[in-house]
Amino acid sequence: MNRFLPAKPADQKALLRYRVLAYTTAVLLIVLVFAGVPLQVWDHNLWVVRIVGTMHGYLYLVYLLVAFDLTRRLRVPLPWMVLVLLAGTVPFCAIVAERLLTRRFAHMAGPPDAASPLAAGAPLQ
Amino acid sequence: MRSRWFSRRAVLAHLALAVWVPGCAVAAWWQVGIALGGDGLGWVYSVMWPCFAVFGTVFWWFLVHDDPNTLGARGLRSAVTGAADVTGRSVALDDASSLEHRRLAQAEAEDAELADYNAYLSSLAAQQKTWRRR
Repeated sequence: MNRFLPAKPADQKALLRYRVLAYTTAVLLIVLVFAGVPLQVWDHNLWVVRIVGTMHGYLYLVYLLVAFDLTRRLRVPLPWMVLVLLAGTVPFCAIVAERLLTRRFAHMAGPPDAASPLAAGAPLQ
Repeated sequence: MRSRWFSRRAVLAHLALAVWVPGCAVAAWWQVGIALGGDGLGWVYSVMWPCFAVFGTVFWWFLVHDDPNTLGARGLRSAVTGAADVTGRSVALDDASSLEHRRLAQAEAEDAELADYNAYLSSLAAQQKTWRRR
């Protein structure tokens, strides 16, 4: 089986959307868990948790939509799709998921095949 | 129709939805209680949880109505080969102008060319026979 599935411009955009959302939610979650929660527990300072927590909650909604779109485009099997969706709620996991999906995308799109005349747009026959 | 709503995949989706939507409703109600208790941030979350419930319903709808032959590993296989699935329906190519599709088309064209050439050879052989008979 040839594993390459040439990516359409819409797929590239879906990947970019996902990467932006994955990094944004991941950074907010890391701030929330490793700065907000300690401040809440030891300093009783709630403002980081209240602001960053709300931002992460709503951005995670957008992340869900974008991740669902991309995993469908990349034909990610259902159990992995669920893990990618949940990755936005575990610190660092969204970054791992972003790496894996970007690699899968590059793998599926394949390298530009310069040796093939078809790649250069030569007509068939 | 039966397989759409009662396949293993669909039943799992129904179960997940049956847990998810009431869970979101409970969480939203809990946040409404917090908001009514005087913390305004509760209103923000009491809007967010119903959104999660709606998203769950949308995902459930997609899972039930998607053709499993176009998703996952099977979907990838049919997309790159354009092969017919088990029901005999041909699975639409993800991108008709894809490189793989063109390679396949070229291979088919070569087969047609080869068949033409064989027909030409056999016609030559037939002509040779008549020539020998003379």
